[in-house]
Amino acid sequence: MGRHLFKYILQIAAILYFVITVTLSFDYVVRRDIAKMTSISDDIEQCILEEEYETAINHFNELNKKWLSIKEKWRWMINHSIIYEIDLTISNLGHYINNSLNEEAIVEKHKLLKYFHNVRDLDTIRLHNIF
Amino acid sequence: MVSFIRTLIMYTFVIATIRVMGKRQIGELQPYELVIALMISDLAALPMQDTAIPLLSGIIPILSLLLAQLTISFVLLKSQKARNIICGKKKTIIQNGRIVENTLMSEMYNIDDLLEALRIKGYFDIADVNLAILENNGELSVLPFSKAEPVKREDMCITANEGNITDLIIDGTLIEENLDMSNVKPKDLLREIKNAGGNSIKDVLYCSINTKGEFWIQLRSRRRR
Repeated sequence: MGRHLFKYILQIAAILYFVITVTLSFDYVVRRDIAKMTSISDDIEQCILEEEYETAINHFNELNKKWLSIKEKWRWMINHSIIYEIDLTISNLGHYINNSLNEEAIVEKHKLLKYFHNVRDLDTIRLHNIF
Repeated sequence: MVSFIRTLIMYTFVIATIRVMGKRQIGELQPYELVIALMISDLAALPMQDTAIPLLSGIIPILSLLLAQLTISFVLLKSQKARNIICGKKKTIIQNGRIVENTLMSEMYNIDDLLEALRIKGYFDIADVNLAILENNGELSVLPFSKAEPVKREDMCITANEGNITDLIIDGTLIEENLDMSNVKPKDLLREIKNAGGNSIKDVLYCSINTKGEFWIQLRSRRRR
């Protein structure tokens, strides 16, 4: 009897540990990545408003590089269709910056931030997310 | 190809999950186990067919269900009260040969269901049934009146050998632990195989021994040797 109880407790503890570790560590990674991406895209917006396109392109390259590295991690937990949408938005943003299309670039940047915030808020434990 | 690999991963994962849940999951299900079995099949199917859904999105909910199932099983093991609440109580549906109508109503079990379950149990005449209990897993347990009970050896004062049958060879493969347990020497086994017309263990489809030491041997067909 004692051995079986121990087995039960061990299995419950192992599953709890796995689920909590995976979800919390992923949540931490996503929040950290989004903070970094938000900061870079804010820099891009600032440069666009000041019409410093050279610096904006440099920041965009940094953003693109960062995105390429984080999207591989995100694929493990986030629906791939959201990742494709972000891919598309970043690609559009690059095109608008290169062609000095200020308004379109700023709209695209805000769209990108909206996607990131959606990803971040989707897994937050809130009543509206649960129901 | 991705879909194929994902399906294999989820299939293996669900088998492992069901194994952890225990053997009852496969056969007679309690209500809480049935719910989990239904939900797991759905959760596993989604990431199998849609490659845009990450596998972990299927695995984490399945693990959560497994966690809930293990926790409930643990609580049920320790508390009778919890067993009554979660699994329900057994209900007497026929008592002293009379149908208990209240139970029929409360369990939404109609007369046809009852007669069908009795027929499946081998009782075609309800008058033969002394007691019938509806178990938590939906099975009906039946105790007939003594007049309808089958005759037992005990009633006829006949004694029988309580012996056990031990498998020794299955499909050309010797089960060595059974050979040791039944104290049969390999040379005796080989002699019996030769008497049956075979040459070696590989020629035997099935061989067993009873407690009297009697062998039962069937050789493989010549084509398969």
